[in-house]
Amino acid sequence: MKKLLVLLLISSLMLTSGCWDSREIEQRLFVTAIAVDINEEVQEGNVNRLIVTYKYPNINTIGKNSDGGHINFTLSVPASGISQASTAFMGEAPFPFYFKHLKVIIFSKELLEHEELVRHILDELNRSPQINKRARIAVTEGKARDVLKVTAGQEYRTEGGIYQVLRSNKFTNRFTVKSLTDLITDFDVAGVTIVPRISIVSGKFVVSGGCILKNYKFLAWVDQNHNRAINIMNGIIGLENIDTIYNGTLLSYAVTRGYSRKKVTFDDGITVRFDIKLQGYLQGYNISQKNQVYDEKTLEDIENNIEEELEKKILETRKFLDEIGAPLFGVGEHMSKFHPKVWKQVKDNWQEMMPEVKFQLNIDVNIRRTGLTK
Amino acid sequence: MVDKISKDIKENVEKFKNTFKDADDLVYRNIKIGKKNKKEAYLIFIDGMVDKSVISDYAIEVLFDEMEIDESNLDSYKTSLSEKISEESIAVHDVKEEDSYDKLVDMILVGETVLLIDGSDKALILSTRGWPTRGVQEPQTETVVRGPRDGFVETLRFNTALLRRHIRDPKLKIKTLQVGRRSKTDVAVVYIEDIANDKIVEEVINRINKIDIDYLPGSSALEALIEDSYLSLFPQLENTERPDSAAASLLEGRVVIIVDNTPFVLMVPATIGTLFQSTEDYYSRWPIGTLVRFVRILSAILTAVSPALYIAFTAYHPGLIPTAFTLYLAASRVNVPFPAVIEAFLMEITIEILRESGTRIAGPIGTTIGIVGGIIIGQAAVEAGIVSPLKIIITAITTISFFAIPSYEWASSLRIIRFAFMFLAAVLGLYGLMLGIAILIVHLAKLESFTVPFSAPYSGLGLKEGDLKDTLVKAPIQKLKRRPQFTFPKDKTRMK
Amino acid sequence: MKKNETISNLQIRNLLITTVIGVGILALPNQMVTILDNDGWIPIILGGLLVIPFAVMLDRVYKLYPDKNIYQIGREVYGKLIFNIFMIIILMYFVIQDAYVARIFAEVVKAYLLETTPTEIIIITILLVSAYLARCEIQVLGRVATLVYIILITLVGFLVLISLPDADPTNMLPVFNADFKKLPSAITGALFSYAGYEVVFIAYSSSDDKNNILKYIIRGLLVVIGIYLIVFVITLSLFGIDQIKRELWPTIAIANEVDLPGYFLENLEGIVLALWVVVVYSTLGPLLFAASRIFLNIFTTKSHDFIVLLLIPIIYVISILPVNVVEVYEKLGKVLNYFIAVSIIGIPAILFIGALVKKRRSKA
Repeated sequence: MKKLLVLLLISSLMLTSGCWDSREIEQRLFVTAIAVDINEEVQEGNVNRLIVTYKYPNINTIGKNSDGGHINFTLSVPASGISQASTAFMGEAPFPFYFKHLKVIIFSKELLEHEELVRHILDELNRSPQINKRARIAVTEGKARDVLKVTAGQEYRTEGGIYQVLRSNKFTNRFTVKSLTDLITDFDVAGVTIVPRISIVSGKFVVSGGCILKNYKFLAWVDQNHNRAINIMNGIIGLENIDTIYNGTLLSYAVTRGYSRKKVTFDDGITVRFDIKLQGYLQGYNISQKNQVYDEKTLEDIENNIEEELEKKILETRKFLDEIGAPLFGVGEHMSKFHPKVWKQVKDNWQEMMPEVKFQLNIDVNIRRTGLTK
Repeated sequence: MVDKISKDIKENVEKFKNTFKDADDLVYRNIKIGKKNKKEAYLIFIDGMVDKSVISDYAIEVLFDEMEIDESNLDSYKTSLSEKISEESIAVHDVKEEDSYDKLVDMILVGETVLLIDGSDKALILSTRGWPTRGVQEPQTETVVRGPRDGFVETLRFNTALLRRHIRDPKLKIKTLQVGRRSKTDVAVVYIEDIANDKIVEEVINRINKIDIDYLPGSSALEALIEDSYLSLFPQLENTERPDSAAASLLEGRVVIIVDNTPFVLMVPATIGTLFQSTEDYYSRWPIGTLVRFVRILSAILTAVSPALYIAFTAYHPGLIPTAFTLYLAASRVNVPFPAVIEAFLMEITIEILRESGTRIAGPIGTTIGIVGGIIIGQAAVEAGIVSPLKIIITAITTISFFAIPSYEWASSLRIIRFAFMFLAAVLGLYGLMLGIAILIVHLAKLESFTVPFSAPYSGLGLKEGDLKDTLVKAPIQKLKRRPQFTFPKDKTRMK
Repeated sequence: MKKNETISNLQIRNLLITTVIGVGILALPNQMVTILDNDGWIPIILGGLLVIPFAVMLDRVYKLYPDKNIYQIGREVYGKLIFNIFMIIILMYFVIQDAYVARIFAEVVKAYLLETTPTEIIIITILLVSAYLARCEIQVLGRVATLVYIILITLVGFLVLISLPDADPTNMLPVFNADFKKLPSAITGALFSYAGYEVVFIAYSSSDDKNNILKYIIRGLLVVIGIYLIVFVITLSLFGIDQIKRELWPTIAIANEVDLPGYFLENLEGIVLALWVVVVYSTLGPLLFAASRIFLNIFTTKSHDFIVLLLIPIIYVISILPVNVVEVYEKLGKVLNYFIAVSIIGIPAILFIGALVKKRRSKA
């Protein structure tokens, strides 16, 4: 009898109070991408200084019973923060929003000129337990919401084409993949970071090159070549093509693997030696009787050519970075780990000291394969 | 005062007739023994329980041939009449003397024949048992691909014989007890004396002796009466129809309990480790045995937890599963009118109904029809848009996993647990499910089987001694040199 | 003693490990790194080693008075009144620790699993289920501990595996660069993470092999140190020092960080949390058990399962006292730290010294 009472009590407790968090899965809207812009029309005193856009998939178009409609929907609203927008949407959207599957966050360049807004947004993203910290960041020159609108109609996968492109650096070196956590960590460690640039070109989106942010603000755009150099110096080496002129004709070399290491010595000021080793195969040269590359001397020659070309490009990038004051080669981070005592002394003046640091580039390119022909 | 029979045969016969009034299958055969002195004698037996040829050929015919019964000759031999007859004039293979009336009644009821002799105060019990019985067949619930195909039958004595065929050791002890006031069912407790632990044997015998019931229907009733915790969902004894399984468990140091009238014998003690073993493991090569054991454990987990996980993930935590999967899940549920919880419960209850109706149809065929029918109905339901296809798949996985578990009782307990988990998941999501699992863990740890902890060897007993070698995996037979520890066997080595 | 009234030493070891590893493991990397930067692993090791002498002391006390349980020894050495006061302090310690663990657990569940469910419901449910465990005998606790130990090791192994691809071991550097003046405060912080090991001393008298218990206890402590170290190394390698200083519960965030698209592994915190529920449960149960046992011995009641039910409301009330997470760690944590100092260090030391002195006196 006593056991019955206890059972009754427990089950009534469970049944009457209800299931607080339960929500049917098809009654949620899964936001896969967010775009943040500045709200130009805002008046003084209004906290809604952003225009936030959500993109979420149309689940009716997934799977067998697809009804062939729009694959994704977008909604924009003025808001004071990213999660605040979801309350603003309550009047329009049929279901509540769910952020755990967020994949991409796009900022507009305009937004990145307001430092405290950026800090506010990043803190919100970091603090929230609901936002997926692996979301990838990208920056666009124009309005971020336009990027989302453009892609909404053309994607063939529900997760989004942007995400697929931004996912990893394994296949490309033209931009640097950055996830939310990476971004925040970079700001902590070095104060500078580089983020992929996404643009709209004749109705489609393109990711190429990057955008340098410093101290939570926009600093400069970089094109693909500079970005590639930055990646290589930081040890991110994906599949890549390097084009040089050899013997008057174009030569293409494809990189498959490689590594890059740094070593810092202090004999006469700070010297950083970069050991970069690339492996790959010869992709294209010039089909003719006399241009056979199948002997060691020629290959070595070609390798040296590529190495020089690469070194040239890297030093160009370095000059560019020094001019804008963005130490992006990871030297500071390296020193903070391996030479902490020195780093402690220099870190406050690092920006001024960066140009004084001597670089020793030790590039070693290897052509491992020449393809099927000689 | 033990009720004895008298020397007057007419009185005796009257007494028997009175006791067995209206029992028309009793036969009272009146014969006269001795060519010369014609002593009156009666054979009393129950038609249908005796082997009639034994009575006709080896009792009546031989008695008719007897030359003379002369009491005067007896004094010089210092024997009794009944003794003389039993030793010299009856050809039945087993004859006993008895003077207790109640005992004689019991013996008739068991299928023996009572021989009353006029002038003797002792009757003779002739061993004539024989009744319609099934021949030794392959057990339907435990088939193996490669291995013996005999199974226990309903007669206790045949079953003990089948066991003895596997273990020809004089240390194999068979102790017979009787349970049930009216059924007087024979129960045999079998163990190997120098392996089995005395305390466990003692415990078994004590518990059986304590039973006071009027009818013992079979080994499951006995199981319920002697197990440690009859209220628990889980079986604490194992059962089998196969003599080779029973013999193997005897050699592990366990005690086997055979109950008359049922081919299912009980094996004691049982643990989680043993419940996942099956005879098939020992007749195939060891890597297969190991793989199959892992599959079983996985199946046990799947069958208990899958519907609850489905509920937890669809209703509470879609963020905890990979994105592509989440979106697919949402899409598949778009037009389903029921919430995920109701869907899950509906499907499970439907399957249970189908399973139950399948058992009405003969044998395993019925169960298969039930399951297949379920899947077809499920398909129709998906087409009609009432249930999501993923749920059907989950239900199918759950049900099929159920059949991968060797012990039927154990699997059935998991069925009930499945519903409990579903309820918990419906109320508190993944957290609720984990609470359920926590409670389950404690319950399993608390459970004991005849003083042996049920959760051995995973919970400590036998871990150091390597019990896992035959429970979690199936080690090659060369590695199983020691007996498993959980029965506290006296003789620890199996093989050198 | 019948075989199933004893608890094996292996089970005692597992009991120690699963009781100690509860909610401390979540915040440990953060707490250590906040004080000592990359050298946070040092106080973890030192804190663990520091516990060992006290365990040895208690073991010696038992050896001095063989076949007596801790209550009898205590009463003999110090007299009923004083020892009862000690026991009441320890009782309060267990009760507060139980409340602390339950509250943090509920906060974590709320953050990751059930956002709108009231905290009270989470606490009540986990306490009730722990009560079910605490009402059993010590053997059952030992068995449950062994089963949960398997789950714990699986969890740790899983965390290591999923973080390997993304981990950057250079984040561990620089070493030996921190401000070592802060070491003592770090060690006291780490010491808290080893609290709970005292539970095994209540199991002492039921062991089946009393001579070797200490060996197993030390092994258990080493395993705990090992697990804490592994978690520390992984979280630091994965996050880097700055992010760890910000992250409240880095251990769970590991699962959040994993993104291996090629292997379809995302959002794995679900698995981690599910397994972790069982781990915390195995901490709460024995603490409650210990508390009820002590109560039983102070006030000599018949059986401890009734007391368990009595203690639950008290624990519940204490656990909902702090208003938010910060208060939990600050206020309740501070109170708890005092109790720990007394219970882990004070009382074993006092008992040991007292027992020694008494033995010497009786010999003289």
